[in-house]
Parts: sequence; structure tokens; C-alpha cells
Amino acid sequence: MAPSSEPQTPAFNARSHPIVFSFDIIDYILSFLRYDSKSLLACSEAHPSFSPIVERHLYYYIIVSASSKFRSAGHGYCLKPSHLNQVLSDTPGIANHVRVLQIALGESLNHSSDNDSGPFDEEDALENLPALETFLFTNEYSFSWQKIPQDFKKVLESFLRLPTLHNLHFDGRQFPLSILYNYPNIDCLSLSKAPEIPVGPDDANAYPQLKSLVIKDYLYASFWNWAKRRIIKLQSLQCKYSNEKIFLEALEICSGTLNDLDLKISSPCEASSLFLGQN
Amino acid sequence: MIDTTTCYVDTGEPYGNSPPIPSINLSSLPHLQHLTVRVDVKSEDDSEYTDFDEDIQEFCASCLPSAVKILETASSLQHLTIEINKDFGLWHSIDFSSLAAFAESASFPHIDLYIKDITHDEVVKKLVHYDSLRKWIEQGVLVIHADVTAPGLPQFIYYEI
Repeated sequence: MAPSSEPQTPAFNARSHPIVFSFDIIDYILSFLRYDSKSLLACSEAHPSFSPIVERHLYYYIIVSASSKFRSAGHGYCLKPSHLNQVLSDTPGIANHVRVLQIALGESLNHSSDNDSGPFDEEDALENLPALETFLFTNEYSFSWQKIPQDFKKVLESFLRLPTLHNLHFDGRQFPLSILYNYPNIDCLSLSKAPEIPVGPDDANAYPQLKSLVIKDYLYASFWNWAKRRIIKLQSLQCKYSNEKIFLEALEICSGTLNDLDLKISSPCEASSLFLGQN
Repeated sequence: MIDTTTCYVDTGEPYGNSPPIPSINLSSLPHLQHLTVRVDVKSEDDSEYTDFDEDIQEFCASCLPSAVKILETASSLQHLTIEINKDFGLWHSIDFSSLAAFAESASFPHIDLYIKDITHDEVVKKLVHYDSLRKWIEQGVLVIHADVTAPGLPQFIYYEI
């Protein structure tokens, strides 16, 4: 049998032909790991040259929680409140990397499960995040706004004052929508439960038009009456389908701008059992 | 237009008295590029239906046909995401024929399918029985994400424990 006349491709030797990527390419690749702090930390440990690039992305999404569960999960970079304070004090430049901040409460509003002081006394440090775009308040038990300690409410409002902040998520019941009237920078709103509707005449100009709205609860009529005057420019909507009249009216109002729709459809019985107007 | 969404597992016929979800027409949204539909597939007990040997007949209340009706009205989509939330043990009862029928005529650049509590292989094994869905998988149009839920809006991606 005659030997093949096709030229043989020499085996690629990675050691003799190292692939060199530019800073920008490595930076771009690592940006996909912003929600995977474990992998980012592993990259950082793999080679010292990765460290400064990793740092930018590691602090992009940070979770402040005294609960060890978040630290072991490794999605965002989880810090104890006092640890965050220390990091920001020791390396002030890190504050410029933080775009998404999640404060996650555990089983108690006044917890100190890790002998930590909790997030309530960190106002000065937490307030100093000049590039923060998204603030997420989450808790396991959907506490109502009324049950949150007064000093922590002040901390929450201190974030809303940041001019760079546009996205607010509140996980809990009875979030007072009237708070938003003081912070026109918030144009993307996410709520897990029905909020508290402002009393008195509704001035639609008192709060700017929303670009994004997430309501994981049903679209109750009382909330809808407040929201429908503020979604003319809505680009993204996430909700649970419950009432045909409300939903179709919502789509009609924002039909000129809506480009992203996230719709949850539960069982027909569940949807029809809701009484329009009940809150 | 009314669409009955609750069907028996074995026959796929509509289940009698359940209030239906009216179809939603998305054709009035000319700028809609990304649609995420999250549908429940639930197991329920119905004591009225005891024609078979079992004391309690299990039926499958699937909103998938409703979701497909909605998809048929969305023509401008660039990206479709479907999330199926199923009750434990109902995987083998889910009927994908409505989605398969839709796949025969529809053309989407990209579809992500998210199903929790099931392996990737099990999903593929079931979907390839439908010619149109098998083609979507082979062409890379339909991407299966097993055992995860679909992400929310980009501004509000966060994690709960």
C-alpha cells in the first residue's frame, strides 16, 4: 500500500507556541464570570497576572450577608458587612468596580448569626459606591416594610440617593411606592410582593416613566392603577399573568417601546380565582 | 379567542370545567424581540373523575398549549425562552405535541428551553421523538438547559439561597 501523499500536520505544541491574549480579550472573557465568584477566584490563583483583571469583575456583583450560605454558593462575591467596610477602607479603588449590590438578610432582621454587627451600621461605607447601578434587597421570608428597623431603612434610602443607581429590587411586602417620588433616578423597579400604594391624588408627573418593571406577584388592580400611568416608555416587563383586562391594557400602553416580555402562566384555576381589585 | 389549557394526561383531551386562559395576542408589539414564557405543568387530584381503577385519577394541567398559542402571535421575536416548571414525577406525562406542531411552521433564530429537576439526556430523549423538535435541536436552534430556571430581566439577575 502506497504511503499517503498528503502533507502531515505537525502536532501542536502548546508549550512551544504559547497563545498570548491581549488584556482586552482576557478582560472580556472574564466578564462572563461576574456571577461566578468561585471561578473568578480560581483564575486569580492560577496566575498572578490575572489578579488585577479578576478584581474588576469580582467586585462587579457583591452580596453583603452575614449568612454563610451565600458564601458557599459562590454566585456573587459574598462579604460580611464588616469585611466590606474593611475592603473599601483598605482599597478605595475597589468601590469603582461595584455595579450590583445585594443585601441579603437571613432568618432575622436583627440577625448576628456570625457574630457580625449586621449591615445596619455600615451606612458610611456602603453609601460610598460611586458606580453602583443596581441595588437588591432580598430576604428569605419576605418581611413587610413596616417590620424593617428604622436605621436600616435609612441605609436603604442612602443607596437610592446615588445618581448612578437605576435598578431597585425590594424583596418583601408593602414597599411604599411613595419613597420613589424622591428618587427620579430609579427607572427600573422590581418587587416580589404587592407594594403599598400612595394615598391621595396620583400625580403621574411625581415619578418618572419606568423603563423596566418586574412584579412577581399578581398584577393587582390597585397596583396597576398606579403603574399604568408610568409605563408608556416601558422596555421590559416581567409579571405573572392573572387578569386578561389588566394585562392586555398593559401591553397596549407600552406597545410602542416594549422589547422584552417575561410572562409566567400558572394553572387556569389559579389565574381565574383572583378577584380584580383585591389587594 | 378562548383556549382550553387543561388536558388529561392520557388522551390530551380538554378537562371539562376549568376556567380557561384567554389567548394573548402579541402581534400589537412590533418591537418585541425577546419573549420568556414560564409555564406550569401540574399534577392535581380530581375526585370527580374515577372511571379508572385508581382511586384518584391524576391529570395533567398543562399550560404549554396556551403558551404555544401566544407564540403563534409573536412574529418579530429574535429570541424565545421557554421555562417549564413541572411537578415531581410528571416528566413522562408532558405532551410536547403542541410545541412540535408549532415548530413545523415557525422559524426562530434561537430558542432556550429550561426545565428543572431533569437531566439534559432525558429531555433530549423525549424531544427527539418529535421530528420538528429533533431538527431544531440538530440545527442548534433549540438549546436545552436542564435543571436550571430561566434568568430574569438582565437588570435584576440575582441569586437566592
